[in-house]
Amino acid sequence: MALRSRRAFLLTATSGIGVALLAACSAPSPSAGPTSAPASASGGSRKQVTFWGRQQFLPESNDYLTESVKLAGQKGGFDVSVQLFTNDEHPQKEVVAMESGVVPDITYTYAPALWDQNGYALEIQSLYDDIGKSGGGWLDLADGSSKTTAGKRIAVPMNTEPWFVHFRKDKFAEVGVSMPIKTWDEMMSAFQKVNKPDEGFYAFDGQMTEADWVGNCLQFMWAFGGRLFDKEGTPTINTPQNIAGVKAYTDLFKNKMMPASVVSQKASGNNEAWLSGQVAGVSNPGSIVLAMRKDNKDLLANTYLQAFPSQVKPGSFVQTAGAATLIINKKSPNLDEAMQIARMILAPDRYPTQLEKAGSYWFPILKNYLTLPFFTQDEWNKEVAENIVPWALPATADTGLSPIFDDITISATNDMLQAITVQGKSVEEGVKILADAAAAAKAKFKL
Amino acid sequence: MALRVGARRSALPQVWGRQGTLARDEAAFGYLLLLPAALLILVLVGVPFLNALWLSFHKKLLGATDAPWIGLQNYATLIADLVFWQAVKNTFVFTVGSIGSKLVIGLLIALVLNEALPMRGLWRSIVMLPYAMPTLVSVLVWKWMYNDVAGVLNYLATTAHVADHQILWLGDPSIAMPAVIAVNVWRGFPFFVITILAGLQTVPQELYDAAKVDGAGVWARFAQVTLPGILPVLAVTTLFSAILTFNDFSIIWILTQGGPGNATNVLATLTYKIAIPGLELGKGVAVSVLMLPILVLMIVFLNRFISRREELA
Repeated sequence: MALRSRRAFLLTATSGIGVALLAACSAPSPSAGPTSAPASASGGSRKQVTFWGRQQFLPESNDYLTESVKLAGQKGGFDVSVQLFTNDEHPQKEVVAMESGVVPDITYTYAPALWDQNGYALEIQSLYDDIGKSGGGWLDLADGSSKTTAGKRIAVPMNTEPWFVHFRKDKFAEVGVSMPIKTWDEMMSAFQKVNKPDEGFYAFDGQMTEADWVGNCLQFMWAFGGRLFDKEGTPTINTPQNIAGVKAYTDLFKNKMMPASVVSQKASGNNEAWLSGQVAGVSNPGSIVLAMRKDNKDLLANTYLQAFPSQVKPGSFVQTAGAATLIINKKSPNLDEAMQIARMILAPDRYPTQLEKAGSYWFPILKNYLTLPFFTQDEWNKEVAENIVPWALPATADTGLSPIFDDITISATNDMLQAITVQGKSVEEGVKILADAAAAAKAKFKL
Repeated sequence: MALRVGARRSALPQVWGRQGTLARDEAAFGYLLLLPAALLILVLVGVPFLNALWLSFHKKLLGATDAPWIGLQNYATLIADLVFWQAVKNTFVFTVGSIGSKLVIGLLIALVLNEALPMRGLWRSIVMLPYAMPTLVSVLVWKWMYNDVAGVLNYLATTAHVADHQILWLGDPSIAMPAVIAVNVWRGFPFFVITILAGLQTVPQELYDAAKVDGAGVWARFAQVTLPGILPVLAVTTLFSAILTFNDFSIIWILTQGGPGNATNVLATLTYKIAIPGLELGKGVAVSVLMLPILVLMIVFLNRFISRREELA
């Protein structure tokens, strides 16, 4: 009887679990849109459009951007979901979204080539032209930031994010150097004079990792006339010009004109070195100026902003600039709505305030806004607008958007610089690492 | 009588048969009860594992829709790659260095805390703090302490004239690995303390008394009584912690991301670098698959050890 009871209990319990499992397995799963997250509503209800982006340095800039997206929704009669991710989180979110096939309708990205490579980027030449007209035309930077090597217009640039060289006016003045520094030789001579490693003060801080590589090592390669790609998109890395640029850059470290810690610095490393008064020069986008505006006005008063002098063309300058871009998911059922969002962000009555809200991190990408008082009256914005923006080119200026560039920037640049500065390999061996990585990326992406 | 005997004899197989049926039924019910758990393991572990294994034979780029079959090419590429072998070496150095240090420190502290100290409960709580803190928080604090410009360690070293220059705790390839091991040890030694302490409390006091009567000194009592008494705990704790340390990603990633110059690049960070930022999911998974035999070996040792102890008990 006891056995029977136990068996009955076991039978009942097991059956219950089995039924529960079956019920769970057979429950209808919530349907997701094939390529858009979340799916648009249908059958007369309002559409839901998802916008992804990256958080900016100033919260008010994020708020204003969000407001623009929501405003587009209000005017267009659709709902929006705005998700802004941190710098670290955003690239991972993007690739995971592409892998899962559940991607936003429109996204603000720094990796437009990847979206195109994976078949998500809509060709948007007419949208690009319309927005360009409304802003008085695009600056030169816009073209290379929005067009692929194959000539497809896949992105709407939102801004110019130039790198700029920060020089300590007071420290250079102490050794008889006045601003601006106009030539390469003048800059090297000034570095020699201002450098005092025994006192823990260094001429320059440039990371020997992948961090901020575009604004530092690449500038040196450009200054020596080097280029990463030819016009057809073929990597041209292992050249005497690029080797000379990398040598000049790493020699600053070897000759103790950079702090020893640059071998392990990440993106904020040179910010810390500058803000702690350890160095006389750094190359960085607007984050350092923003930090000084907030907390260190004395240091800001002693800061001069300019571009890198060219070594091969005395009197001219080189400077890379990034651009945040908008990509529209071509598989989205909400293409019109996504375009309305892009137009709203860059609308003449919204965009100038967006630029101001971003502080000195966003500079105009459209000609009409170069003369805003914000960029002509503030001393440091004016320096950027006058000394840097005219020279600014995207890192892929020679070839257009290329996934090869994105790929080598992830870790091969780190491997190259670490090989030279940490592992003691020659500059030629280091540059070969980068060249091999570019060749591998070309094969990887079947380009 | 004979009939009775015969009846009994003829009844026995029936009873045995019924018992056999019952036993089979019980076993069947047992398996049936195991089924949900087995299904869960199959779905949550088995399927992803098989999928990962399948991926490792493909040239699968993250985000790309096509993934051509390339057989063992991912494995061949890895085996020919010096960075992979450096990561293997680093993984072993990291694991052995961390586990060895945690074992020694954990044992010493456990022995001290097992004594009749004043405020023993408080000390035991304090020792647990590193283990209780969130990994991210504690590792970020360490990162700040290691900072070459503003870190407290360099401040102390220069103030005490131990060093006349900034030490690159995370930037010097010869120091970076000991530095990340130190953080792992700091975070993990409380686990050893608490488990060894539990083991120490199971060693009967009579054994110590008997050893004393036999004239055993402190070291002899430790070697002949304490150590054999806590050996099972030591073995299980060490193996369990070794498995977790072998897989550890967060501490190294937050501190060095595998640098400088791959000096702290372990298999877990290499997997991530290849698979996520490098987009080569298939190749990244292949690194994980190559880690598997070592982990399986450790798990088998652990299981065998536990099973033997259970049999002995």
